[in-house]
Amino acid sequence: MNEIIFECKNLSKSYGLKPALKNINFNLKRGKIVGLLGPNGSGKTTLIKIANELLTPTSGEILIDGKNPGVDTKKIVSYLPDCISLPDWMNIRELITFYKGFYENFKEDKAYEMTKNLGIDVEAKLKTLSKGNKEKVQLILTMSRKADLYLLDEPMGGVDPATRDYILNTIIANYNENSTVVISTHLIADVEKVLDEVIFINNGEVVLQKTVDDIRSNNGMSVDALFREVFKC
Amino acid sequence: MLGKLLKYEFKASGRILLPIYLAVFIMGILSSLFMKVPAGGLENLNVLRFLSVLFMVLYIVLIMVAVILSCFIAILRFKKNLFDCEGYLMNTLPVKSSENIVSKLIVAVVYQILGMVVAMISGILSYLIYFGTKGIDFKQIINSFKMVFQELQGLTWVYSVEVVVLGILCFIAVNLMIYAAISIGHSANARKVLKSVGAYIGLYFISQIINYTLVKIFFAIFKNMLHDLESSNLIAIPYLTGIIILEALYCVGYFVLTDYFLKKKLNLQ
Repeated sequence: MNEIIFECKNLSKSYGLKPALKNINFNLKRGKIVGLLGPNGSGKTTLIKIANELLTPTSGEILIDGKNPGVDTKKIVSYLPDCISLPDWMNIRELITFYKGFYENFKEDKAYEMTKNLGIDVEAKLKTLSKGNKEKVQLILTMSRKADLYLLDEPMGGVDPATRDYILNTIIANYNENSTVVISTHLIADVEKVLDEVIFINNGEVVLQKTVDDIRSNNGMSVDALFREVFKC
Repeated sequence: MLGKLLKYEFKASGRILLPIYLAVFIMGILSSLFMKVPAGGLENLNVLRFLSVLFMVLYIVLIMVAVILSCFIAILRFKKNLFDCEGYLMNTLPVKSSENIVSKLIVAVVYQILGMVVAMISGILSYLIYFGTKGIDFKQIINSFKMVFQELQGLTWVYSVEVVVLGILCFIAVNLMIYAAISIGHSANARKVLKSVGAYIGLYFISQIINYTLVKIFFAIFKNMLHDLESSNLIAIPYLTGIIILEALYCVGYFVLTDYFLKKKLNLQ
Protein backbone atom coordinates (compact mmCIF):
# COMPACT_ATOMS: atom_id res chain seq x y z
CA MET A 1 0.00 0.00 0.00
CA ASN A 2 1.46 3.35 -1.11
CA GLU A 3 1.46 6.25 1.35
CA ILE A 4 0.64 8.52 -1.57
CA ILE A 5 -2.83 7.61 -2.83
CA PHE A 6 -3.15 10.18 -5.64
CA GLU A 7 -0.47 11.65 -7.84
CA CYS A 8 -0.58 13.98 -10.87
CA LYS A 9 2.57 14.00 -13.01
CA ASN A 10 2.93 16.73 -15.66
CA LEU A 11 -0.77 16.32 -16.41
CA SER A 12 -2.18 18.29 -19.33
CA LYS A 13 -5.50 18.07 -21.12
CA SER A 14 -6.81 20.05 -24.08
CA TYR A 15 -10.22 20.00 -25.72
CA GLY A 16 -9.20 20.66 -29.30
CA LEU A 17 -7.07 23.80 -29.09
CA LYS A 18 -8.50 24.88 -25.74
CA PRO A 19 -6.33 23.84 -22.79
CA ALA A 20 -8.24 22.60 -19.73
CA LEU A 21 -5.30 21.44 -17.58
CA LYS A 22 -1.75 22.75 -17.93
CA ASN A 23 1.13 20.64 -16.64
CA ILE A 24 -0.36 19.85 -13.24
CA ASN A 25 1.84 18.29 -10.55
CA PHE A 26 0.75 17.41 -7.03
CA ASN A 27 0.19 14.44 -4.80
CA LEU A 28 -2.13 13.50 -1.93
CA LYS A 29 -1.37 11.30 1.03
CA ARG A 30 -3.75 8.83 2.62
CA GLY A 31 -5.93 9.86 5.53
CA LYS A 32 -6.79 13.38 4.34
CA ILE A 33 -9.94 15.28 3.44
CA VAL A 34 -8.91 17.53 0.57
CA GLY A 35 -10.81 20.39 -1.03
CA LEU A 36 -10.26 20.79 -4.77
CA LEU A 37 -11.36 24.38 -5.06
CA GLY A 38 -11.66 26.68 -8.01
CA PRO A 39 -14.14 28.79 -9.96
CA ASN A 40 -16.38 27.33 -12.67
CA GLY A 41 -14.40 26.07 -15.66
CA SER A 42 -11.10 25.95 -13.76
CA GLY A 43 -10.45 22.26 -14.59
CA LYS A 44 -11.65 20.50 -11.39
CA THR A 45 -14.10 18.19 -13.14
CA THR A 46 -11.66 17.44 -15.97
CA LEU A 47 -9.04 16.36 -13.42
CA ILE A 48 -11.48 14.06 -11.63
CA LYS A 49 -12.73 12.58 -14.90
CA ILE A 50 -9.18 11.72 -15.99
CA ALA A 51 -8.67 9.99 -12.62
CA ASN A 52 -11.75 7.89 -13.42
CA GLU A 53 -10.66 7.07 -16.98
CA LEU A 54 -13.62 8.98 -18.42
CA LEU A 55 -11.23 11.28 -20.26
CA THR A 56 -7.74 10.59 -21.56
CA PRO A 57 -4.97 13.09 -20.79
CA THR A 58 -3.23 14.88 -23.64
CA SER A 59 0.08 14.32 -21.83
CA GLY A 60 1.31 13.31 -18.40
CA GLU A 61 -0.42 10.85 -16.10
CA ILE A 62 -2.40 10.26 -12.94
CA LEU A 63 -1.39 7.52 -10.52
CA ILE A 64 -3.79 6.09 -7.95
CA ASP A 65 -2.06 3.94 -5.38
CA GLY A 66 0.83 3.84 -7.85
CA LYS A 67 -1.27 2.66 -10.81
CA ASN A 68 -2.69 4.36 -13.89
CA PRO A 69 -6.52 4.53 -13.91
CA GLY A 70 -7.95 1.13 -14.88
CA VAL A 71 -9.91 -1.81 -13.52
CA ASP A 72 -7.66 -2.09 -10.42
CA THR A 73 -8.02 1.58 -9.45
CA LYS A 74 -11.79 1.50 -10.03
CA LYS A 75 -12.03 -1.12 -7.29
CA ILE A 76 -10.59 1.33 -4.73
CA VAL A 77 -12.00 4.64 -6.02
CA SER A 78 -15.52 5.71 -5.16
CA TYR A 79 -16.62 8.41 -7.58
CA LEU A 80 -19.52 10.81 -7.36
CA PRO A 81 -20.07 12.49 -10.76
CA ASP A 82 -21.56 15.95 -11.17
CA CYS A 83 -24.65 14.55 -12.93
CA ILE A 84 -27.12 11.76 -12.16
CA SER A 85 -25.55 8.65 -13.68
CA LEU A 86 -27.85 6.00 -12.19
CA PRO A 87 -30.35 4.16 -14.42
CA ASP A 88 -33.66 5.81 -13.58
CA TRP A 89 -35.84 2.74 -14.29
CA MET A 90 -34.47 0.95 -11.25
CA ASN A 91 -35.80 1.37 -7.73
CA ILE A 92 -33.44 2.19 -4.86
CA ARG A 93 -33.34 -1.40 -3.59
CA GLU A 94 -32.30 -2.60 -7.07
CA LEU A 95 -29.63 0.10 -7.24
CA ILE A 96 -28.22 -1.01 -3.89
CA THR A 97 -28.16 -4.63 -5.16
CA PHE A 98 -26.45 -3.41 -8.36
CA TYR A 99 -23.69 -1.67 -6.38
CA LYS A 100 -23.32 -4.65 -4.06
CA GLY A 101 -22.86 -6.92 -7.09
CA PHE A 102 -20.12 -4.87 -8.71
CA TYR A 103 -18.18 -3.47 -5.73
CA GLU A 104 -16.69 -5.85 -3.18
CA ASN A 105 -16.21 -2.96 -0.74
CA PHE A 106 -19.87 -1.89 -0.86
CA LYS A 107 -21.58 -1.92 2.55
CA GLU A 108 -25.25 -2.74 2.01
CA ASP A 109 -26.22 -2.14 5.67
CA LYS A 110 -24.71 1.31 5.57
CA ALA A 111 -26.64 2.17 2.39
CA TYR A 112 -29.97 1.10 3.92
CA GLU A 113 -29.19 3.02 7.12
CA MET A 114 -28.43 6.18 5.15
CA THR A 115 -31.59 5.88 3.03
CA LYS A 116 -33.57 5.57 6.26
CA ASN A 117 -31.85 8.59 7.85
CA LEU A 118 -32.41 10.71 4.74
CA GLY A 119 -36.03 9.60 4.33
CA ILE A 120 -35.59 7.84 0.97
CA ASP A 121 -38.14 5.14 0.12
CA VAL A 122 -36.12 2.15 -1.12
CA GLU A 123 -39.06 0.83 -3.14
CA ALA A 124 -39.41 4.06 -5.13
CA LYS A 125 -38.13 4.14 -8.69
CA LEU A 126 -35.34 6.65 -9.18
CA LYS A 127 -37.25 8.52 -11.90
CA THR A 128 -40.05 9.31 -9.44
CA LEU A 129 -37.69 11.14 -7.04
CA SER A 130 -36.95 14.86 -7.03
CA LYS A 131 -33.57 16.07 -8.33
CA GLY A 132 -32.35 16.65 -4.78
CA ASN A 133 -33.35 13.14 -3.67
CA LYS A 134 -31.71 11.60 -6.74
CA GLU A 135 -28.48 13.35 -5.75
CA LYS A 136 -28.88 12.02 -2.21
CA VAL A 137 -29.27 8.45 -3.52
CA GLN A 138 -26.17 8.82 -5.65
CA LEU A 139 -24.22 10.16 -2.68
CA ILE A 140 -25.50 7.36 -0.42
CA LEU A 141 -24.28 4.74 -2.91
CA THR A 142 -20.90 6.46 -3.29
CA MET A 143 -20.34 6.86 0.45
CA SER A 144 -21.51 3.32 1.26
CA ARG A 145 -18.31 1.94 -0.22
CA LYS A 146 -15.25 1.42 1.95
CA ALA A 147 -12.92 2.92 -0.64
CA ASP A 148 -9.30 4.11 -0.47
CA LEU A 149 -10.09 7.25 -2.42
CA TYR A 150 -13.37 9.14 -2.69
CA LEU A 151 -13.60 11.59 -5.58
CA LEU A 152 -16.67 13.74 -5.01
CA ASP A 153 -17.49 16.21 -7.77
CA GLU A 154 -19.79 18.93 -6.43
CA PRO A 155 -21.39 16.68 -3.81
CA MET A 156 -23.56 19.40 -2.34
CA GLY A 157 -24.64 21.36 -5.38
CA GLY A 158 -28.32 20.45 -5.35
CA VAL A 159 -29.11 19.45 -1.76
CA ASP A 160 -30.63 21.44 1.10
CA PRO A 161 -28.47 22.79 3.99
CA ALA A 162 -29.68 20.13 6.46
CA THR A 163 -28.63 17.38 4.05
CA ARG A 164 -25.30 19.14 3.48
CA ASP A 165 -24.59 18.80 7.20
CA TYR A 166 -25.56 15.12 7.07
CA ILE A 167 -23.24 14.60 4.07
CA LEU A 168 -20.34 16.31 5.81
CA ASN A 169 -20.91 14.22 8.92
CA THR A 170 -20.93 11.11 6.72
CA ILE A 171 -17.65 12.16 5.14
CA ILE A 172 -16.08 12.68 8.57
CA ALA A 173 -17.49 9.34 9.75
CA ASN A 174 -15.86 7.65 6.75
CA TYR A 175 -12.53 9.21 7.54
CA ASN A 176 -9.77 6.79 8.41
CA GLU A 177 -6.01 6.81 8.08
CA ASN A 178 -6.10 4.74 4.86
CA SER A 179 -8.66 6.65 2.86
CA THR A 180 -8.60 10.09 1.32
CA VAL A 181 -11.62 12.17 0.35
CA VAL A 182 -11.31 14.74 -2.43
CA ILE A 183 -14.20 17.20 -2.55
CA SER A 184 -14.43 19.34 -5.66
CA THR A 185 -16.61 22.38 -5.01
CA HIS A 186 -16.96 26.11 -5.09
CA LEU A 187 -19.22 26.11 -1.98
CA ILE A 188 -16.22 26.58 0.28
CA ALA A 189 -17.93 27.93 3.39
CA ASP A 190 -19.92 24.68 3.67
CA VAL A 191 -16.99 22.29 3.42
CA GLU A 192 -14.26 24.32 5.10
CA LYS A 193 -14.85 22.88 8.56
CA VAL A 194 -14.07 19.32 7.45
CA LEU A 195 -11.03 19.98 5.23
CA ASP A 196 -7.42 19.11 6.15
CA GLU A 197 -5.90 20.42 2.95
CA VAL A 198 -6.89 22.54 -0.05
CA ILE A 199 -5.79 22.75 -3.65
CA PHE A 200 -6.72 25.92 -5.52
CA ILE A 201 -7.02 25.42 -9.23
CA ASN A 202 -7.53 28.17 -11.78
CA ASN A 203 -7.44 28.14 -15.60
CA GLY A 204 -6.11 24.59 -15.52
CA GLU A 205 -3.22 25.34 -13.18
CA VAL A 206 -2.66 24.56 -9.51
CA VAL A 207 -2.15 27.95 -7.87
CA LEU A 208 -1.94 26.78 -4.26
CA GLN A 209 -1.69 23.57 -2.20
CA LYS A 210 -1.71 24.09 1.56
CA THR A 211 -3.06 22.61 4.74
CA VAL A 212 -6.02 24.42 6.25
CA ASP A 213 -3.98 24.95 9.46
CA ASP A 214 -1.23 26.68 7.43
CA ILE A 215 -3.76 28.99 5.78
CA ARG A 216 -5.22 29.95 9.13
CA SER A 217 -1.87 30.49 10.87
CA ASN A 218 0.26 31.89 8.01
CA ASN A 219 -2.37 33.84 6.07
CA GLY A 220 -4.49 34.66 9.12
CA MET A 221 -7.75 34.02 7.31
CA SER A 222 -10.29 31.31 6.54
CA VAL A 223 -10.12 29.22 3.37
CA ASP A 224 -13.26 30.99 2.13
CA ALA A 225 -11.66 34.41 2.62
CA LEU A 226 -8.43 33.29 0.94
CA PHE A 227 -10.41 31.87 -2.00
CA ARG A 228 -12.23 35.17 -2.43
CA GLU A 229 -8.91 37.01 -2.35
CA VAL A 230 -7.12 34.70 -4.82
CA PHE A 231 -10.03 34.51 -7.26
CA LYS A 232 -11.15 38.12 -6.98
CA CYS A 233 -12.95 39.20 -10.16
CA MET B 1 -18.33 -9.66 -13.91
CA LEU B 2 -19.61 -10.43 -17.44
CA GLY B 3 -22.42 -12.48 -15.91
CA LYS B 4 -23.50 -9.54 -13.75
CA LEU B 5 -23.38 -7.17 -16.72
CA LEU B 6 -25.43 -9.62 -18.80
CA LYS B 7 -28.06 -9.93 -16.06
CA TYR B 8 -28.37 -6.15 -15.88
CA GLU B 9 -28.48 -5.75 -19.69
CA PHE B 10 -31.10 -8.47 -20.19
CA LYS B 11 -33.28 -6.75 -17.60
CA ALA B 12 -32.74 -3.25 -19.05
CA SER B 13 -33.67 -4.24 -22.63
CA GLY B 14 -36.18 -6.94 -21.69
CA ARG B 15 -38.41 -4.58 -19.71
CA ILE B 16 -39.23 -2.85 -23.04
CA LEU B 17 -38.89 -5.66 -25.60
CA LEU B 18 -40.45 -8.64 -23.82
CA PRO B 19 -43.91 -7.02 -23.38
CA ILE B 20 -43.89 -6.14 -27.11
CA TYR B 21 -42.88 -9.68 -28.10
CA LEU B 22 -45.67 -11.02 -25.89
CA ALA B 23 -48.10 -8.57 -27.51
CA VAL B 24 -47.04 -9.80 -31.00
CA PHE B 25 -47.71 -13.37 -29.93
CA ILE B 26 -51.12 -12.60 -28.42
CA MET B 27 -52.19 -10.34 -31.28
CA GLY B 28 -51.27 -13.04 -33.82
CA ILE B 29 -53.56 -15.52 -32.09
CA LEU B 30 -56.34 -12.96 -31.56
CA SER B 31 -56.35 -11.80 -35.18
CA SER B 32 -56.60 -15.36 -36.55
CA LEU B 33 -59.29 -16.26 -33.98
CA PHE B 34 -61.43 -13.27 -34.97
CA MET B 35 -61.07 -14.13 -38.65
CA LYS B 36 -62.15 -17.70 -37.91
CA VAL B 37 -65.23 -16.98 -35.74
CA PRO B 38 -68.32 -17.33 -37.96
CA ALA B 39 -70.62 -14.34 -38.02
CA GLY B 40 -74.07 -14.89 -36.43
CA GLY B 41 -76.25 -12.10 -37.72
CA LEU B 42 -75.70 -9.31 -40.18
CA GLU B 43 -75.08 -6.73 -37.38
CA ASN B 44 -72.42 -8.95 -35.80
CA LEU B 45 -70.80 -9.54 -39.17
CA ASN B 46 -69.72 -5.92 -39.55
CA VAL B 47 -68.38 -5.74 -36.00
CA LEU B 48 -66.46 -9.00 -36.40
CA ARG B 49 -65.08 -7.97 -39.76
CA PHE B 50 -63.99 -4.65 -38.32
CA LEU B 51 -62.35 -6.36 -35.33
CA SER B 52 -60.61 -9.00 -37.43
CA VAL B 53 -59.19 -6.33 -39.77
CA LEU B 54 -58.23 -4.16 -36.79
CA PHE B 55 -56.40 -7.02 -35.05
CA MET B 56 -54.66 -8.04 -38.27
CA VAL B 57 -53.45 -4.45 -38.85
CA LEU B 58 -52.36 -4.20 -35.21
CA TYR B 59 -50.57 -7.53 -35.53
CA ILE B 60 -48.60 -6.41 -38.59
CA VAL B 61 -47.81 -3.02 -37.00
CA LEU B 62 -46.65 -4.76 -33.80
CA ILE B 63 -44.31 -7.06 -35.75
CA MET B 64 -42.81 -4.01 -37.45
CA VAL B 65 -42.51 -2.16 -34.13
CA ALA B 66 -40.86 -5.21 -32.50
CA VAL B 67 -38.27 -5.55 -35.29
CA ILE B 68 -37.48 -1.81 -35.41
CA LEU B 69 -37.41 -1.50 -31.62
CA SER B 70 -35.05 -4.47 -31.14
CA CYS B 71 -32.51 -2.66 -33.37
CA PHE B 72 -33.25 0.78 -31.92
CA ILE B 73 -32.91 -0.42 -28.30
CA ALA B 74 -29.55 -2.04 -29.09
CA ILE B 75 -28.21 1.27 -30.43
CA LEU B 76 -29.83 3.34 -27.68
CA ARG B 77 -28.52 1.07 -24.88
CA PHE B 78 -24.97 1.30 -26.20
CA LYS B 79 -25.04 5.08 -26.66
CA LYS B 80 -27.00 6.03 -23.55
CA ASN B 81 -25.38 3.54 -21.21
CA LEU B 82 -21.77 4.19 -22.21
CA PHE B 83 -21.61 7.70 -23.65
CA ASP B 84 -24.33 9.71 -21.92
CA CYS B 85 -24.83 10.31 -18.18
CA GLU B 86 -25.11 6.59 -17.38
CA GLY B 87 -21.62 6.26 -18.86
CA TYR B 88 -20.24 7.85 -15.69
CA LEU B 89 -21.47 4.79 -13.82
CA MET B 90 -20.84 2.04 -16.39
CA ASN B 91 -17.34 3.22 -17.33
CA THR B 92 -16.26 3.46 -13.68
CA LEU B 93 -17.37 -0.06 -12.75
CA PRO B 94 -14.40 -2.36 -12.12
CA VAL B 95 -14.94 -4.18 -15.43
CA LYS B 96 -12.97 -4.22 -18.67
CA SER B 97 -14.30 -2.14 -21.56
CA SER B 98 -14.45 -5.36 -23.60
CA GLU B 99 -16.86 -6.86 -21.04
CA ASN B 100 -19.15 -3.86 -21.41
CA ILE B 101 -19.15 -4.30 -25.21
CA VAL B 102 -19.64 -8.09 -25.11
CA SER B 103 -22.54 -7.87 -22.64
CA LYS B 104 -24.38 -5.33 -24.79
CA LEU B 105 -23.66 -7.27 -27.97
CA ILE B 106 -24.90 -10.62 -26.64
CA VAL B 107 -28.11 -9.08 -25.31
CA ALA B 108 -28.75 -7.13 -28.53
CA VAL B 109 -28.26 -10.20 -30.76
CA VAL B 110 -30.32 -12.49 -28.49
CA TYR B 111 -33.27 -10.08 -28.42
CA GLN B 112 -33.07 -9.44 -32.19
CA ILE B 113 -33.09 -13.17 -32.95
CA LEU B 114 -35.79 -13.76 -30.33
CA GLY B 115 -37.92 -11.07 -32.01
CA MET B 116 -37.66 -12.88 -35.35
CA VAL B 117 -38.42 -16.25 -33.75
CA VAL B 118 -41.49 -14.83 -31.96
CA ALA B 119 -42.76 -13.26 -35.21
CA MET B 120 -42.24 -16.55 -37.08
CA ILE B 121 -43.88 -18.74 -34.44
CA SER B 122 -46.85 -16.40 -34.04
CA GLY B 123 -47.22 -16.32 -37.85
CA ILE B 124 -47.20 -20.13 -38.11
CA LEU B 125 -49.57 -20.42 -35.15
CA SER B 126 -51.96 -17.87 -36.67
CA TYR B 127 -51.91 -19.79 -39.95
CA LEU B 128 -52.63 -23.07 -38.19
CA ILE B 129 -55.47 -21.53 -36.16
CA TYR B 130 -57.10 -20.03 -39.25
CA PHE B 131 -56.52 -22.73 -41.88
CA GLY B 132 -55.83 -25.76 -39.66
CA THR B 133 -53.50 -28.48 -40.95
CA LYS B 134 -55.82 -29.43 -43.81
CA GLY B 135 -54.31 -27.07 -46.35
CA ILE B 136 -50.75 -28.22 -45.63
CA ASP B 137 -49.35 -30.98 -47.77
CA PHE B 138 -46.72 -32.45 -45.44
CA LYS B 139 -45.74 -35.04 -48.05
CA GLN B 140 -44.91 -32.32 -50.54
CA ILE B 141 -42.85 -30.40 -47.95
CA ILE B 142 -40.85 -33.55 -47.10
CA ASN B 143 -40.32 -34.28 -50.80
CA SER B 144 -39.10 -30.72 -51.38
CA PHE B 145 -36.56 -31.13 -48.57
CA LYS B 146 -35.48 -34.49 -50.03
CA MET B 147 -34.93 -32.86 -53.41
CA VAL B 148 -32.81 -30.12 -51.87
CA PHE B 149 -30.80 -32.77 -49.96
CA GLN B 150 -30.14 -34.67 -53.18
CA GLU B 151 -29.18 -31.51 -55.04
CA LEU B 152 -26.66 -30.61 -52.35
CA GLN B 153 -24.97 -34.01 -52.73
CA GLY B 154 -25.05 -35.01 -49.04
CA LEU B 155 -23.60 -31.75 -47.83
CA THR B 156 -26.87 -30.57 -46.28
CA TRP B 157 -25.53 -30.41 -42.74
CA VAL B 158 -22.48 -28.46 -43.78
CA TYR B 159 -24.69 -25.99 -45.65
CA SER B 160 -27.18 -25.75 -42.78
CA VAL B 161 -24.49 -25.09 -40.18
CA GLU B 162 -22.75 -22.58 -42.41
CA VAL B 163 -25.97 -20.68 -43.12
CA VAL B 164 -26.85 -20.53 -39.38
CA VAL B 165 -23.30 -19.43 -38.44
CA LEU B 166 -23.33 -16.83 -41.20
CA GLY B 167 -26.73 -15.54 -40.06
CA ILE B 168 -25.55 -15.10 -36.47
CA LEU B 169 -22.28 -13.50 -37.62
CA CYS B 170 -24.27 -11.02 -39.74
CA PHE B 171 -26.30 -9.98 -36.68
CA ILE B 172 -23.07 -9.58 -34.68
CA ALA B 173 -21.29 -7.65 -37.43
CA VAL B 174 -24.20 -5.22 -37.98
CA ASN B 175 -24.36 -4.41 -34.25
CA LEU B 176 -20.59 -4.14 -33.87
CA MET B 177 -20.32 -1.83 -36.88
CA ILE B 178 -22.83 0.51 -35.23
CA TYR B 179 -20.96 0.25 -31.90
CA ALA B 180 -17.67 1.09 -33.62
CA ALA B 181 -19.24 4.10 -35.38
CA ILE B 182 -20.75 5.40 -32.11
CA SER B 183 -17.43 4.95 -30.29
CA ILE B 184 -15.51 6.80 -33.00
CA GLY B 185 -18.07 9.61 -33.20
CA HIS B 186 -18.19 10.10 -29.44
CA SER B 187 -14.43 10.50 -29.15
CA ALA B 188 -14.90 13.92 -30.79
CA ASN B 189 -15.28 17.11 -28.75
CA ALA B 190 -18.46 18.28 -30.51
CA ARG B 191 -21.22 17.11 -32.89
CA LYS B 192 -20.80 13.56 -31.62
CA VAL B 193 -23.98 12.10 -33.16
CA LEU B 194 -23.25 13.61 -36.57
CA LYS B 195 -19.69 12.27 -36.44
CA SER B 196 -21.03 8.83 -35.43
CA VAL B 197 -23.23 8.82 -38.56
CA GLY B 198 -20.20 9.92 -40.61
CA ALA B 199 -18.11 7.11 -39.10
CA TYR B 200 -20.86 4.59 -39.94
CA ILE B 201 -20.98 5.73 -43.56
CA GLY B 202 -17.17 5.53 -43.70
CA LEU B 203 -17.08 1.99 -42.27
CA TYR B 204 -19.88 0.92 -44.60
CA PHE B 205 -18.03 2.18 -47.69
CA ILE B 206 -14.78 0.49 -46.63
CA SER B 207 -16.58 -2.83 -46.07
CA GLN B 208 -18.35 -2.55 -49.45
CA ILE B 209 -15.07 -1.92 -51.27
CA ILE B 210 -13.49 -4.93 -49.53
CA ASN B 211 -16.51 -7.14 -50.34
CA TYR B 212 -16.60 -6.07 -53.99
CA THR B 213 -12.87 -6.64 -54.45
CA LEU B 214 -12.91 -10.08 -52.81
CA VAL B 215 -15.97 -11.26 -54.77
CA LYS B 216 -14.29 -10.15 -58.01
CA ILE B 217 -11.12 -12.06 -57.10
CA PHE B 218 -13.12 -15.16 -56.10
CA PHE B 219 -15.06 -15.32 -59.34
CA ALA B 220 -11.94 -14.64 -61.38
CA ILE B 221 -10.26 -17.67 -59.76
CA PHE B 222 -13.26 -20.00 -60.08
CA LYS B 223 -14.47 -18.65 -63.44
CA ASN B 224 -14.23 -22.03 -65.17
CA MET B 225 -16.30 -23.83 -62.53
CA LEU B 226 -19.40 -21.65 -62.78
CA HIS B 227 -20.75 -23.08 -66.03
CA ASP B 228 -22.41 -26.25 -64.79
CA LEU B 229 -24.42 -26.97 -61.69
CA GLU B 230 -22.17 -29.78 -60.44
CA SER B 231 -19.07 -27.61 -60.39
CA SER B 232 -21.02 -24.70 -58.90
CA ASN B 233 -22.03 -26.94 -56.01
CA LEU B 234 -18.40 -27.80 -55.42
CA ILE B 235 -17.38 -24.18 -54.99
CA ALA B 236 -20.48 -23.21 -52.98
CA ILE B 237 -19.04 -24.47 -49.69
CA PRO B 238 -15.65 -22.75 -50.07
CA TYR B 239 -17.56 -19.60 -51.10
CA LEU B 240 -19.81 -19.74 -48.01
CA THR B 241 -16.79 -20.53 -45.81
CA GLY B 242 -14.98 -17.55 -47.28
CA ILE B 243 -17.92 -15.26 -46.50
CA ILE B 244 -18.03 -16.63 -42.92
CA ILE B 245 -14.31 -15.96 -42.45
CA LEU B 246 -14.70 -12.47 -43.92
CA GLU B 247 -17.70 -11.71 -41.70
CA ALA B 248 -15.80 -13.01 -38.65
CA LEU B 249 -12.87 -10.75 -39.57
CA TYR B 250 -15.26 -7.78 -39.78
CA CYS B 251 -16.59 -8.69 -36.31
CA VAL B 252 -13.06 -8.82 -34.89
CA GLY B 253 -12.12 -5.55 -36.59
CA TYR B 254 -15.20 -3.66 -35.37
CA PHE B 255 -14.77 -5.10 -31.88
CA VAL B 256 -11.09 -4.07 -31.67
CA LEU B 257 -12.00 -0.61 -32.95
CA THR B 258 -14.83 -0.19 -30.42
CA ASP B 259 -12.68 -1.45 -27.54
CA TYR B 260 -9.79 0.84 -28.51
CA PHE B 261 -11.99 3.94 -28.60
CA LEU B 262 -13.70 3.01 -25.31
CA LYS B 263 -10.40 2.30 -23.58
CA LYS B 264 -8.10 4.92 -25.04
CA LYS B 265 -10.29 7.68 -26.49
CA LEU B 266 -13.25 7.89 -24.13
CA ASN B 267 -14.34 11.51 -24.04
CA LEU B 268 -17.18 12.01 -21.53
CA GLN B 269 -17.11 15.78 -21.31
